[in-house]
Amino acid sequence: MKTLDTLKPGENAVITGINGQNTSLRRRLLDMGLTLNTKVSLVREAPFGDPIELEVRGYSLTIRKSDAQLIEVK
Amino acid sequence: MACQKIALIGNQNSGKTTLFNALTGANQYVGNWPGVTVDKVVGTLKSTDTKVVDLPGLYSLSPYSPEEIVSREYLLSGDYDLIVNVVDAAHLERSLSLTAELLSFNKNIIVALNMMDVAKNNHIEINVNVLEQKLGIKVIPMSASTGDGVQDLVNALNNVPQRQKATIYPQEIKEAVVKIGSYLKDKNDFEKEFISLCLLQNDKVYVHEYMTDELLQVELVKIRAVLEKQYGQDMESKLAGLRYAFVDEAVKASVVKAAANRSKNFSRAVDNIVTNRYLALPIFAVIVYVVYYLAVSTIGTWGTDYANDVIFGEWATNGAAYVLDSISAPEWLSGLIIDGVIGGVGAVLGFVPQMIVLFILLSFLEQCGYMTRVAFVLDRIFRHFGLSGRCFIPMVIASGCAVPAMMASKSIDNINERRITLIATSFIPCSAKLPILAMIAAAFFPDSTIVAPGVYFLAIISVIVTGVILKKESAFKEEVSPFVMELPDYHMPTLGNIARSVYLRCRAFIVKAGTIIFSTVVLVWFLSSFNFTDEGFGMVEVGDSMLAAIGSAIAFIFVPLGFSSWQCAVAIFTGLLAKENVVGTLAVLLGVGADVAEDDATLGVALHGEFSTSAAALSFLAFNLFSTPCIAALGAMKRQLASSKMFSFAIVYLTVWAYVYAFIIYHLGGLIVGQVAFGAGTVVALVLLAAILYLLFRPEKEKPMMGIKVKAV
Repeated sequence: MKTLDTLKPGENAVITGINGQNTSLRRRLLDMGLTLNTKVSLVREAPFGDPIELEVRGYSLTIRKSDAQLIEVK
Repeated sequence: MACQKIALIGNQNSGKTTLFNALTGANQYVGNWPGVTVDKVVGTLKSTDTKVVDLPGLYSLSPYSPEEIVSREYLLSGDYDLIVNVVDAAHLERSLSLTAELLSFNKNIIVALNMMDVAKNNHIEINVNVLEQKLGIKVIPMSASTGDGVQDLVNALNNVPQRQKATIYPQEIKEAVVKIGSYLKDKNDFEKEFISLCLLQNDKVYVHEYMTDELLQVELVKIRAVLEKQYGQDMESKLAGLRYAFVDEAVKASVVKAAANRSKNFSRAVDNIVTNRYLALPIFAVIVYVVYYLAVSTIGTWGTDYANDVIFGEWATNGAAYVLDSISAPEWLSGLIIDGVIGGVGAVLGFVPQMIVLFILLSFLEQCGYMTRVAFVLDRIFRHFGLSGRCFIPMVIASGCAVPAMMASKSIDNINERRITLIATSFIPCSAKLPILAMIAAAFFPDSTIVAPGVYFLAIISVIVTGVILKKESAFKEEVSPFVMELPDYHMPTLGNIARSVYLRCRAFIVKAGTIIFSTVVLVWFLSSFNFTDEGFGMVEVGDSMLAAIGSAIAFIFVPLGFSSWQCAVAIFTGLLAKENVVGTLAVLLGVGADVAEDDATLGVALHGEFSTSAAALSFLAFNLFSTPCIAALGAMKRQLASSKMFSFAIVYLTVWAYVYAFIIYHLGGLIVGQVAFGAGTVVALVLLAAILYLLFRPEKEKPMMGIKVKAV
């Protein structure tokens, strides 16, 4: 399963699943627009490699790589 | 029907605060939502009696962070006539998700479509009528920062048209909601839809509330099973997907957008530099340096010194002295007015110039959007210490003065990080502590170059260790929003917003911190100037005062630290008022005189008589440097911690830490250089060291996955 944290800067993907049931993190990710079949692309990594900046639904979002691991993409 | 109370709600970067300011002017009051450390901001609409409740900026109404829970509960209480949902016109796709959630409350709502000017700059055109149709509620286009459309909003408040029901959910979910709603006998009609949707999503607050309603639980399981099978995903994910599908449709129908998005491209370009692998940290260092330079080294300090030396030191003091002289006031009254009251007021207001400069700069950095980039860049390092990038700035400022540093920590959203920062920042040596360092260094380590860097090194260790230790404590694990943060487009903050932000923060400091500082200054003045003498109760020299008596009584506490004279105890006490006092008090009490330089030779001799070993002197230094900061900083800390329990904990923690540090330095340090013999003290010191290492390295308790929050909300 390919996950969001493995994307390279500039790469696009579509969300196929969000793991981490019943956690505040999952709810937050969904509420911020990271829902099934949504297009997302990796803009950049922070200078130390983590966190990452994503573009989703026309705006910029940053999340930690360990949290991005919860999101399956293709 | 007249609109008496409005609930203002919207995303964090939607310009909600600008709108709130535009609607209420200066008629704002910042309180606290009961049970949580979330600011409750209420204002009054200009020229009316209508109250405006500014709910915290949030992205959804999930049951997780304190801000969301508090907003939810408020919305469910129904204690308002109208919901005004502030939406960012330049980012409709994201903003309308909250709107979709709000639509499930059967209350009056209108949308304030804000930042139309930004949308226009980016060639985004919105067909308001179509949007109104899709949402089923009134939409008022506006720009709070320019003022356009704000009056339209005010006019609309009493003319809210009938709501049309928007179609967000398909038939099967609507039926499920009605069925679930029939079980909610104790709820009002306007809340049933929202709560039913929550239960459908396994919302932890309502699942807990209805835990004992077996019939409902069985029904929920049945309904969820059917729907989840039908959709192939869990309800939480499906409902979020449906909300966004609704939003996407509404946006597609009402928005005409040109290909290029100017502000986003501009922001990306700036970020390419500012978050660049090699440039990010140097740029940040430069910006921090500039802030420090302006606020602490130059303008801020000039202002503060002017206030302290001239306004309070000369004008107020001389003026008061003149008046008191002319009425031949008794000595105690002069003392009370000049040293007590003016000293007390000066202690508070003296900081204001520094704070004004600092807050102007910080507000600008925050409101333009740069601070989110700082958090982004520094998160990786700081998260291991229970902190984040935003915590760095208060710590740098603390090297000048802890008071503005404590106030600056307000900008740290995460309550746990904020608290740890407030406590840890006390360890950074402020400029007032430097004379103590200079004094001890000159007398005991005249040829050493490592004492000063050594002290800063110890301070940094204290900060890191404190961060690591405290973040493992459950008291610092209050539920917060996860680190999922929007990077808003850069934009120029308005002068009005900055001015208001500076005003509110200064006012908060003066009122809340000021009362503590003022009363303590008067109290200490009283204790250090009075005592019972042969002639009764009257004014005395410091050495004969009640404070000295108290000092003698408690001096034994410091015996294990290597210094036990009452003079040291009193000096430490006056250091509580202002760390600069330690040098002066010690000089006076040791008979050297009041206005000596820290490296004065006679003072050095007196100190050698006072401290038998350099280890003892170092221990004294450590205790002063790392114990609780001066009362002004404590006042600011209390204001920011917003919890008496936390504040008491902080004081105990800092005092214990300083004591332990001094103890270890005296016994182990003294042993190493051969000044202190091996004894019971050494053993205790080793035990303490082991205890610190244990606290540092012990594994964190795993948080239970389905943990229901026990804290009362």
